Amino acid sequence: MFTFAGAYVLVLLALTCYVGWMASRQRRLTEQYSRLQKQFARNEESGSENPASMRQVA
Amino acid sequence: MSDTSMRMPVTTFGLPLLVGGLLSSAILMACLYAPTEATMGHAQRIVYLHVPLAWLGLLGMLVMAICGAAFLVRRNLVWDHWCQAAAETGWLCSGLTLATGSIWAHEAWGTWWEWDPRLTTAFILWVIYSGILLVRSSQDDPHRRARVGAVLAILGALDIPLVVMATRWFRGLHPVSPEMAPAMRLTLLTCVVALTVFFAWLVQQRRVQVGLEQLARRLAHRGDTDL
Repeated sequence: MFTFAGAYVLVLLALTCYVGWMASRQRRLTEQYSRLQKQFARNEESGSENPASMRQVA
Repeated sequence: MSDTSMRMPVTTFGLPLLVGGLLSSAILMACLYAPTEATMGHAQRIVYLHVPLAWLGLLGMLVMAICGAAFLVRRNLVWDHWCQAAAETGWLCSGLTLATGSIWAHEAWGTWWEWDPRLTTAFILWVIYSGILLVRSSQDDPHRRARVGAVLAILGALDIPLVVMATRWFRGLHPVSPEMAPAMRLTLLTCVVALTVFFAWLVQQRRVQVGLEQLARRLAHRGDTDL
């Protein structure tokens, strides 16, 4: 009984950890893009040219 | 890039509920609906996870090989993003297959591991996954990483028929096609479907993430930002 329960707990734990890892990477990505957007806005205000690749972010 | 594309993919509403519902149903069926097997008792219920995970380990390698071949033909990095996502998820499923198989083997055979043909080829599959992920992570250039990853994935897919046919081509301990009651078959089928849907959702989410990570890396390396 405990054998199969242990196996199920192991699998659920592993899958939960993977989803949690993806969520933490997503949070980091969101912060990175937020900084990029601010940089883009600063460049626009100061009149400097934004590279074409940065316009994708805005 | 619009705001809608920046929504965290892992929290997209609706689909996680469906995936969660399917998984919950599968686990409840495996624990409560499926009858207890006469010889192995409750330990036999491990098979309702072990078989779907094994199938997904093979599916992941197949997806990698197909997407790798597509990249080599089209040279579009989106195919490599699918490859990366399938590699990570497949590696996890393949590893869990070995773990659940070991737990079952300890109950059935009294040992955690045997160099049985099916177990050995499944272990080789996991080693191939690990190798591909390590080699990919060592490449900085995305196109070179994609090329190397694609070739390794296509070669790695050669292990798939070996894993599938190992119990038929070679003699060993691993069960071939054991008899199952109809309720057991239904439970197994439900678990396979539920975990496959979960796998597909995970790969899709991770694929989007890999694409965004690559774009962010490219923008940061241009040195135009203070990232």
